Amino acid sequence: MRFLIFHIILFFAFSLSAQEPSDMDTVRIQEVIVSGRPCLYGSASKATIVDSLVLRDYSHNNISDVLSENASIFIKNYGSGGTATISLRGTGAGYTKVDWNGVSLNSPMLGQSDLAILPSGFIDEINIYYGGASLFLGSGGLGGTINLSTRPVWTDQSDFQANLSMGSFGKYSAFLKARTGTENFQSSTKALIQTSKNDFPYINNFVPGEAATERRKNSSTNQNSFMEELFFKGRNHVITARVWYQNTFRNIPVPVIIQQPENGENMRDETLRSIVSYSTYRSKTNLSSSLSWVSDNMIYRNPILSVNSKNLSNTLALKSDMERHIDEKTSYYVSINDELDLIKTVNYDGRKYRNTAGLTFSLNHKISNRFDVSLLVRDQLSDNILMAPDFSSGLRFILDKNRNSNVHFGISRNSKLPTLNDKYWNPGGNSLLKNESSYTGELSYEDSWKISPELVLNGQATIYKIQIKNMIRWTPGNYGYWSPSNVDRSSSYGAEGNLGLSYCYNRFSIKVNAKYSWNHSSLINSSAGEDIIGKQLIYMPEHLINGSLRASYKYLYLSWLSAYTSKRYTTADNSNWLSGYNLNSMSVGANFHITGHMIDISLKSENIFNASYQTIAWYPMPGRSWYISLIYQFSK
Amino acid sequence: MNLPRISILLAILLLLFSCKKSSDNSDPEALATVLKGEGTFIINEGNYLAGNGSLSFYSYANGKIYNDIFYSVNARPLGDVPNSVTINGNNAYIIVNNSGNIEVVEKNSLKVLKTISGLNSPRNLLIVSNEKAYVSSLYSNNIVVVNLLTNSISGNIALRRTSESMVLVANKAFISSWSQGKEIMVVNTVTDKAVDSILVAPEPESMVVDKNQKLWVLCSGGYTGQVHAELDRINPYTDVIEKQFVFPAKSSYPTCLQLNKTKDTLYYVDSGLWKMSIDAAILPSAPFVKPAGRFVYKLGVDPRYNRIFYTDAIDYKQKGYVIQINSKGLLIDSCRADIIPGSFCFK
Repeated sequence: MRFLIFHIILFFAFSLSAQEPSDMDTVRIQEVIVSGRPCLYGSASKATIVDSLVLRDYSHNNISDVLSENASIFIKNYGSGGTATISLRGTGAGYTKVDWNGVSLNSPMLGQSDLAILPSGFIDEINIYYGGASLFLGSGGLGGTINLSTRPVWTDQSDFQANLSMGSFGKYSAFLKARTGTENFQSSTKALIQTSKNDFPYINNFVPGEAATERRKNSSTNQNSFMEELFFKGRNHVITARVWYQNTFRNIPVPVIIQQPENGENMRDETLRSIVSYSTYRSKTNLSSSLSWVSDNMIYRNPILSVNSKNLSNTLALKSDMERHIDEKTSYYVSINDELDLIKTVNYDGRKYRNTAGLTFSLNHKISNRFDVSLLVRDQLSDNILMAPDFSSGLRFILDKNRNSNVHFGISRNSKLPTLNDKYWNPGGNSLLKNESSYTGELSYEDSWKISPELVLNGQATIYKIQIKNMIRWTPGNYGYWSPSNVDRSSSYGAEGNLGLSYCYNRFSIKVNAKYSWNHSSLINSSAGEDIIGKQLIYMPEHLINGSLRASYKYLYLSWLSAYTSKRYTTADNSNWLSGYNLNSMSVGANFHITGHMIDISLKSENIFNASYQTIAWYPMPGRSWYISLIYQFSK
Repeated sequence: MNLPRISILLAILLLLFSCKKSSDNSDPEALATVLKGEGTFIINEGNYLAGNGSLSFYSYANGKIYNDIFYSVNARPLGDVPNSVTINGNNAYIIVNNSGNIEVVEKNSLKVLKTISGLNSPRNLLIVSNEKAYVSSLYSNNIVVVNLLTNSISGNIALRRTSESMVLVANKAFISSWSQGKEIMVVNTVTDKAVDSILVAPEPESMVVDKNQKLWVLCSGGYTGQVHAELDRINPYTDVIEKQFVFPAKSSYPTCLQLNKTKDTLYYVDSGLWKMSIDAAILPSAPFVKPAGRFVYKLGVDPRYNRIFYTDAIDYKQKGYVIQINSKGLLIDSCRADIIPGSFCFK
C-alpha cells in the first residue's frame, strides 16, 4: 500500500527531484516517473536522472551539452550546432533510443536522434535508462534509452519567465515560458528563438603553408521551437495533450582539411510532435492510453553536388498499458503498443511503411524486506513477422534500507529492428536483414552515508557486459555502391561509478560529484578480417571522467564542471586516434526575489582553459566562450 | 558510516584505469634513399570527409611498402580523398579530390614545391605538353588547364559535362564523362576547345590506347546495375566506334582498364581481375584472378616491367592490401598499405 501511495503522490503533485537541490544521482528505478504516471521497472536495471537544477544552467543549450558535461556519456559531435549523437556503454548512436515522454524521437529512417536540435530548456527532467531498463519504454535501446520528460505542477499559481541570453560567436537566444492554471487544469507554454553564427576561430595547421588562425565558415544555425502542454485532472484521471513544433536550419561545415565554402551544405529540419494521453487511477489498478504523431520533414541540400534530398517521415503510435498491484508484495504491468512509420523520400524506390506491434508483460515481487525480483518479457510483430522475445530480469538485495544500500544484478535481451534506410535505401538497401540483438548482464552496488545531518555521501558502481550479434554493417558491393548485411558481432564491457558529496548548512549548500566510466568495445567476429578483432571501436573513448561542483549561498550561486574524454581511435585497426581532452566550464550568478518577481543574472564560460580539441577528426571545436543570461520571472 | 564499503568502491574505480599506446617508427634517411629508387606510388583514398587519405610507396629495390610518406616528409596530412598521382619530369602531381588541391612535389623527395588550390573536385591530370596539363573534375563542367612551368591554373575548357579519365592521341585529348555521363569528349589540345563527342554506354570510367593506336573505353554501365556494361574500341582519328563488347550480366561493374607492356592485352577489374587480348572476338568468360574473398578495388600495370598490382580495400575502414601478381596471375607479393588503397603511379 505504501508503494501505491508513494506513486500516487508522485504523480499528482510533484517532481520532488525538481524541487530539491539534488544533482544527477543514481536512483532506484521505481522512483522514476515517465509520462506522468507511475511505472514498474525491473529492479536490476540502472537509471539516472538529470534534474531541473542541472537543466537550469542549460536553458540556452541543447541536450547534448547537458549530457556531455553531466553524465559519463560520450557525445559524438560535429562541432557547435552540428549533429550530435549519443553513445551509451560503447554502443553506437543507433543503439541508443531518445524518447520524449515515452514517444520515440529516433528517426525511423536513420535509427538515431540528433541531440543538437533538442533544446534543454523545454525539458523538466532527463532520465537515462541503461541496458535492460530501457525495455520498459520499448525495444531497440541496446545501449539504453534517454527519456526527456515534462510534467505539470498542480498549483493555482501562474508563472511567466523570460530568459534572454547572448554570447560568443554570434549566439543570441530568447526563451519564454508561461504556466497557468488551477489545481485541476494546467497550461504550459514554451517558446525558443535561437541563432548562432558559430564563426569561432581555430588554428588551422592542417593545410599547406604556415599555421594560421581561421574562422569556421558555413556553420551558422537558427532554431525556432514551440511547445504547448495542457493537463486536465479529474478525481482519478488525468488527460494530457502535448504539441512540440521545431524548425531548425543549419549550415553544415566541412572538415577543415578541405576548402571551406561560404555556401555549402545545409539542412532544414521541421518537426511536429504531438501526444494525447488519458490515465486513470484506481485503488489497485492504473490504466493509461496514449496516441502520438511525430512528423519530420528534413531537407538536405548540397549545392556543389546538386543534391536536394527531401525526406518526410510520419510516425503514428498507439499505446495502452495497465499496472495492477495484486498485494503489497506483487504487482504486474501489461502494455500493448502499435507503431506505424510512413516514409516519403527521394532516396527510396517509392513510398515505404512499416508497422510494428509490441506486447510487454512485467512482474515485480518482493520476496522479503531485503530481496525483490523482477521479470519483463516483450515481443514484437513487425510487418507480420513475429520476433524472438526480449526480456529483462533482475534481483535486488537491500543491504540497509535506511541508507539506500543495495546490490542488484540483471540480465536482459534486447533487439533492434533494421532502420528503414537499411532496408530500402536506393540503391543498396537490403529488405532481408535480420534484427540486431543483444544480451546484457550487469552488477551494481549502491550506497549512501549520512556522515552528519548536513553532510551526505553517496556512491554507486556498476560493471556490465553487452554482446550484440547480427550487427548491421554497410559494406562495398559489386556495383559502385554499398549495401548492408548482418555481418558482425561485438562485445562491450566496462564499469561505471560515481561518488557524490552534499553539504547543506543554513543558506549555504555545496554539492560535489565525480563520475567515471570505463568501456572496452570491440568486434569479436567480423567478415572484415582478423586484424580488427578485439580492437576498440572507432570513436569510442575508453575513459570518461566528469567532476562537478555546485555551491550556493543566499542569492549567489556558482558551478564548475570538468569533463575528461580519453583518446578515440579513428581507424578500425586502432592505428590512428584523436587525443584526449579535458574541458572545464564555470557559471556564476545571482538571483533576487522581490514579492512575486525574480531576476536572475548569470555569466557562463565554456572551455575556460581554451583547450584545442576535436570530437570528430578535422572538425575543430570552439575555444573559450562566454555567455551572459538574464532571467525575469513573475509569479502570481 | 561504513569505511570498508567506501574503500571497495574506490578500489573498483581506481582499478579500472588503464592506458594503451601505439606508435609509428619511420627512418627519414632510409625513406629518402628509398624514394630515389624505382617503385610505385599508391594513393590511399581514405574515407570521404575523414581527412585520412595518404600516400604509400612500394620500393622495387627492397620489396617493402612505406606508408604515409607525404606526412613523413611534409609534416602535414595529404588531405581528403586523394585520387591520383601523375609524374612529369622531376615533379609529381598529387590530385587531392575532396580537398580541391594539387600537391606539386619533387618526385624523389616528395617535398612540396607548390600547392595548387581552388579546384572543384579534381580527379586526374593529363600531361598535354611540356608546358600544359589538363585536370578533370567530378563535379565541375570544366577542364582546368594547368601551366606546368609556373604550376598554376592558366585557364578552363568548357566541357559542359563532368570528366574523369583522359588520354592523349596526337593533338586530341579524349576525356570521359563518367559520373552519370555517357560520352567521350574530344578536345583539341592546341586550341583547348571541345571539338567532338562520342556517344558510348553509361559511365565511361577508364580508357587506354593500345599498340595499334586504338582507344579502348570501359563503361561500367552505371551504379544502379540496370544497364549492361560495355567495352568499346574507338578509332581516335575518326572518332568512330569500331567494336562494342557488351558484358552479358547486368551485375558486371567493370573498372580500371589497363594495358600490359606490349600494349596488346587489356586488364580490368570486375569483382576479380580479367584480361583479354586486343584481338579477341569476345569478352573473356572467366576471371584471370578470382576475388578469393578479397574486395578487389583498383588495378595498375607497370608498363616498364609488366608488374601487375591490385588493391584490396577490405571493408573501406581498415588498412587495405596491395597485391603483386605475375602475368599468369600467381602471387608475388602482398603488403599492407593504408585505408582504401587506390590508384598507382609508377616511378
